[in-house]
Amino acid sequence: MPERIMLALPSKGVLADSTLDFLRDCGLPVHKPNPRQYTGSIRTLPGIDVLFQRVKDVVAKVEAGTVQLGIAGYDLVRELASDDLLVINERLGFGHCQLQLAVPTTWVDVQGMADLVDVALDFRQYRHRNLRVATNFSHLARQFLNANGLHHFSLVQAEGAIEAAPTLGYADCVIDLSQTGTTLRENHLRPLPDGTLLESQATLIGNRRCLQSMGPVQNELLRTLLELMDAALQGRERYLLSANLAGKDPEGLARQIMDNPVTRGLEGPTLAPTWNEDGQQGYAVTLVISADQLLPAVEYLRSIGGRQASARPLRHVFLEESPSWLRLQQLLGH
Amino acid sequence: MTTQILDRNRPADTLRDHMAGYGYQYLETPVIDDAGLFLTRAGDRIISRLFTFGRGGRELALRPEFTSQAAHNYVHGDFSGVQRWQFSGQVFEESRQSASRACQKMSIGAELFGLNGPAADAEIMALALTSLQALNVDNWRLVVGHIGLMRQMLAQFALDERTERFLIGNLRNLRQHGIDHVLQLFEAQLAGGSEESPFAPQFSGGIGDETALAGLLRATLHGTAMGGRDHRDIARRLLRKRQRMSERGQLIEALHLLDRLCQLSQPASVAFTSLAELTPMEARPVLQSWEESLALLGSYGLPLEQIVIQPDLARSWDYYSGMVFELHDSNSRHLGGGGRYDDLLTFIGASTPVPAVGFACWLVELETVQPEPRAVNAFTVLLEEDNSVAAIRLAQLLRSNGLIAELADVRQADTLVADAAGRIRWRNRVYSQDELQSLLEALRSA
Repeated sequence: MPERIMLALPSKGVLADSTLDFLRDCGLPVHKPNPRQYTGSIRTLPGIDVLFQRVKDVVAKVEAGTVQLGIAGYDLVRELASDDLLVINERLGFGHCQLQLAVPTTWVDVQGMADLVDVALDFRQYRHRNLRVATNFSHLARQFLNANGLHHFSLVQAEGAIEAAPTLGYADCVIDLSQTGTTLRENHLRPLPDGTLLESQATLIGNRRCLQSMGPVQNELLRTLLELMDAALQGRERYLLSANLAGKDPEGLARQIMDNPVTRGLEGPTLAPTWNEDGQQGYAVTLVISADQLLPAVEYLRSIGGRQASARPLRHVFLEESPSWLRLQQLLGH
Repeated sequence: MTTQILDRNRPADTLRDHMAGYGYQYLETPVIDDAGLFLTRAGDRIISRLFTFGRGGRELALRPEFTSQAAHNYVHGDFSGVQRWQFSGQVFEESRQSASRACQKMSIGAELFGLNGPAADAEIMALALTSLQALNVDNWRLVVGHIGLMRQMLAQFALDERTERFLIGNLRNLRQHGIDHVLQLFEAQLAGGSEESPFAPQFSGGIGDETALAGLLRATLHGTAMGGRDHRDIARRLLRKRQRMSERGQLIEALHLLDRLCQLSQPASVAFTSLAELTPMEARPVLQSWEESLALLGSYGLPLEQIVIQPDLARSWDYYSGMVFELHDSNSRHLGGGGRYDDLLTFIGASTPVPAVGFACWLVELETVQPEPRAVNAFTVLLEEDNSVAAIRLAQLLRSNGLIAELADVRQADTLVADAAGRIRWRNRVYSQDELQSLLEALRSA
């Protein structure tokens, strides 16, 4: 049994560079000896081989079990979903986009999906043809349109510029990925408010059968990989906040800090006495806090005698166990 | 000596022979056909379950039924006048059950083209029911509705055609959840945009006629992407939407009528009296014709007490335009159904209207209600290296005389043994070539 793990990564497209950045932030820098080569390695985790593929092939290879792990957009994972394709972590925190249905801006009468259903009937009645929807996501598109009561449509598959299809005249509307909406706007398209098929970001996937039959060495490699990814993801969301507090009663200070959920930290504060020339002056407090609570935390510390405060972003936060590892064990029925 | 054979084709053969007795010719249709053909008038439920795929720029589908193909054959095969066709084969439809086998089932049925009136409707219903009887299914129940009568009844409210279709498509919702629920669905369908928007249907501002609206829209043509619609399409739709929204009062009246129809599920003997009270004068001829068609079933010797009238019965295919029916057994299991679809052939390309009526039933449902398999005589013929030619010839002789013969390499008490000289040994007696007739008689009487 091979004791290595093959990880497939996107070689091109919007996810390619951001995946390498993410892995570097996880402490897993990918070494690619030659830009034209399709393989690479991770020096900090030598048991893992990296294979660079087009993102669609990443999903296909994981699904087939040719490689055990891969990183791809959640959109494609859902489009190509199968029993063997396991979603290990669908929130890697980069590559955010939405799969949206968008109609020409000139269609002022179309405010939502119910209108589009009616327009599809118009096409049948007056133009004697189906509404044509350009998309590369035929499975998700069909599901979404049917679920919204739209049945008379034809899917137009096009490689590349889906957004241009209505202008070029070979489709009436589109279902496509959009990050900021700029490309849609530039192509005179408008997403429908109830036309979002899914929110997507980079996702770690695995092959169920491969993961179930892994040996102890591979399992340990996988656990380390997930642990490092989780630690980086947890770190992104937190700051290490230090502040000097005036006061003589450490227990009282600790209670005040613990009383507020914003400053409670992961498991409460660390307090250390501080001295000046006159002897003990107060306490230094160190807290791990949620990134979006930084200012409220500083304000609260001020209100209980805080003077100076400093904050540092955290690169890694290791919890008691890796949440992704735990979830994977559940998914595999271990 | 005897064997139980479950002849899966036997029910189909029985029905083919039965329908041939009514003058129905067998029609072969392709399993894969243009998806557009099935989508022409398919109901929403069917469309979402159709197996479609693209090849060479064509959208194809596995046939989900035979009616559209039969209609296409009539229109594009230069047929005219009365045609009676029967068909049988596998049909395909995505099933909620995950097993792929549930996605295909054996369908058998008939279509009658070019004949209108109660006699034609009665003929198809009778053919369906006598087909069941031919398979010894006597506990059938025939549930009959009439889409055409319902449309005629709805005509008095002068609703938009799309609103009318919405109502017919939501009969089940009306039965299960009531008038308010369907009204909410209708409003949700037409809602859209803020009330201040001049393009929202609720807007009461000054959009006058279509020309004014077209002018307004021309001014709003700020993009190049039109997606196959021009400002006239958009104007027409906005006006139609506003028109539909303004029909709310009539819609509520129509819903009350349909609600009463939904509650009117009665045996044929009493249903028509109640129906006559609800039917406006102009729709009375349709009602009379319907009643007549059911009365004619008595002439076919069918028990009328097994017929239930359910005026709101709407089948999954959108092409039905007149009488519709479903076949059930006593456990309410759905065995098949059919109805009149006079508009379909025009949609498919017929230059003049062609009346059409048909039915289909699913053999997999019928197999569970038909009698036990039959017992037949079966014989084994010994096949050894030195007698293979003689053994095969003997087996063929038996088969050509209507017996079942199986080659076997193990000799048992009843095994027939042919030697190279043409002699045949069976049950301690040897038959020469001149005695084959007496051998066959002995085998038949065994």
